[in-house]
Amino acid sequence: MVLDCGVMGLTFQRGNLTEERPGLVGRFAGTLFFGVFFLAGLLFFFFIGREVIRTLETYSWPNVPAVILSSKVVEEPDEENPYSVSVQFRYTWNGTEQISNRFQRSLQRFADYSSVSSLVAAYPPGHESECFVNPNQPEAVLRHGDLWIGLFALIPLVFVLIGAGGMYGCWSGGKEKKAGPVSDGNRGRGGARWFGLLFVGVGFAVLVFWYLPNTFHGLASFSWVETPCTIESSRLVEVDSDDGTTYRVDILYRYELEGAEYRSNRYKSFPGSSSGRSANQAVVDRYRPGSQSVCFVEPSAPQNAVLMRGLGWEAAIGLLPLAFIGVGLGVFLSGRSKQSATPVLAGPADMDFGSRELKPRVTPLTRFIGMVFVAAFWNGIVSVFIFHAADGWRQGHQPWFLTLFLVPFVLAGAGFLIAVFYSLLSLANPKPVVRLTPGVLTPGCSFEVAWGLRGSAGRLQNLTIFLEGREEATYRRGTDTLTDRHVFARFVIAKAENPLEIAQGSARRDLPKDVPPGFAAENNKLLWSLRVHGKIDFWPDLGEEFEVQVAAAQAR
Amino acid sequence: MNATITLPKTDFAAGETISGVVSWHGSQDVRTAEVRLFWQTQGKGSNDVGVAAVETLDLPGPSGQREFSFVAPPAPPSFSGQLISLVWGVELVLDPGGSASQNIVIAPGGKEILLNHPEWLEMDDPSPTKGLQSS
Repeated sequence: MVLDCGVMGLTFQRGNLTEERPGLVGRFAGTLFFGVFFLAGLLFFFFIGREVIRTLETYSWPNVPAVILSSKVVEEPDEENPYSVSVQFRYTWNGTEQISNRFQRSLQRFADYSSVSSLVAAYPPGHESECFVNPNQPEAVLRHGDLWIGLFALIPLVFVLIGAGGMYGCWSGGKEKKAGPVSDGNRGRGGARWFGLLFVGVGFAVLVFWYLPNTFHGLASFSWVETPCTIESSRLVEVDSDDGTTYRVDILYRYELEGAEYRSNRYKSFPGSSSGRSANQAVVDRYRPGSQSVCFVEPSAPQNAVLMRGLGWEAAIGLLPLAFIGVGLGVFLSGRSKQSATPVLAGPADMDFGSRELKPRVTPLTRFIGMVFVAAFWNGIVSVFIFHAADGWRQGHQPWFLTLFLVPFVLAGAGFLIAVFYSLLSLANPKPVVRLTPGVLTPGCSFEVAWGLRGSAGRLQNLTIFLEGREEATYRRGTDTLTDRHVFARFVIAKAENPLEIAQGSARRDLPKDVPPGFAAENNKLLWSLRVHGKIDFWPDLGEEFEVQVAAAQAR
Repeated sequence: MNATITLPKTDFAAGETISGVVSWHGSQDVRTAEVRLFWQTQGKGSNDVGVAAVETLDLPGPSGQREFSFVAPPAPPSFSGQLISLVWGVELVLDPGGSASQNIVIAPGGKEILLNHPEWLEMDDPSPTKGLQSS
């Protein structure tokens, strides 16, 4: 066979057919792991769903006139959310006068006093209103209740889908699963797309129903009226959750505006709790019961007030729902594009067979920025838990489990910081410039590599340039996506130890005729790279990798 | 449905004609029938599949026999490595009725490219953390 060292195409393609299956023990372990996700999610989904259904039922109940007999804010200091509405009203059903004290079907407790006082203000004693009567049993409510709580069902639904998907993944896939045409293997990415949409939904819900209203509240508070107030009570509320204990300040204060007296316990625009006990305790200590202070009151709705106006650090949390939306959109769009992908054959017209300056796969600056991002992201998250653990030690709680649990995460974080430092030093390395002739290699043909170094080439002890071919196989194991690499070829092009040869030179060699061309599908790749390696004493070595195209050999 | 693909040979070089005969026999009336030239990856990575060419058969019916032919594309060639293998195939897809496929080789000289050539590894990796890492 005579080879044509001129031209020929190579292929880029996609598609996904089967998964490699883990062993039986792995499958059972995976099932157990994802089963916990699934059941926990299902349980919470059930509780939320039941509440939504109970609320929805009240919409089918007939409404009848009612007269409010009493209404007030009830405070139960021992509760995490201490405030609720207490109401009594009279109504007539089937000719009989009845009295009910149910504001809505399920008792709703609030952490925010003004939310409750607004509801109480809407139903003053003597007020004629309407109530909703359960036709099947003696039960009446003044208000339907909130349906938006149903949006929170999306959160456990994520767990349900992860759990179900993970369990399915443990027992499905594999070569024996092939059904239908082999060449249809690229179909069926709907699950990932729906999963992405769910992420978008959760992020959007948090953004719209929590972040934006509180942000607007905080911005609006800049124009609210500064008003003297009296602190009635001040306490630190411990909020227990799976992640440990967090703390929230609950300061109830009284103020007057235009002759009317109001109460509020809103400290700042973003409600919620945080892990720093001492910081929250300091706030509580600052507002002693009976002391005088100032609050900021919304003139058009005087029941709304805050002690601290403006946006706090919580405003930065807005990045979290945005990240959810971004990740979700990314998953959705990538799933869509892969579904619609069509085979593409890159022919000679797509290739540049002239001389070509090669581009590095990853520049040192990109590598450095990437490492900074990874280190900041990792250590940023871990630092929250470190702070939590440190706070626990300061409080004398001795959180041994959390501390030991954090050790590997802290070590990984330290490793990332070292990598940042290493990649920072690498920025000062000389930059290789490599020219390849022809720009696309062909098996069985010769090629020439010309190189030069920008920067202090004299620091290099030696220089090695070689062509490397490697396989890259990407696969999923549970929820992880892993890539294995294997180098099958490493052809030496040049080795230099003389400073002049290191700084600049060229070399020619033949590419064996039986090497494979480059190949890049979604999960499997044969990649060719030109690698430049230089030894530098007491400094990170020079190591650059340049992408090289190898076309299929064409017989003539 | 009984479907078969008959090929006079299974090893091809790029540019050669891949021709053969497909036949099917069954009780169901086949609405659509296609012969596809495709490749798929096998091995450690999640499988990738690509269809290079499709020949749609007219008026298939419950049973039939047709000739087909494709030109073997230049790339990707059939290859086999430590992690990945790429296999070409011809497939008959009947709807309803299922499918049948036959593996072939498309590579220079009609021989699958093998990646395990020790002589190709002329040197060790000077920075081992770069070349063989998993992520």
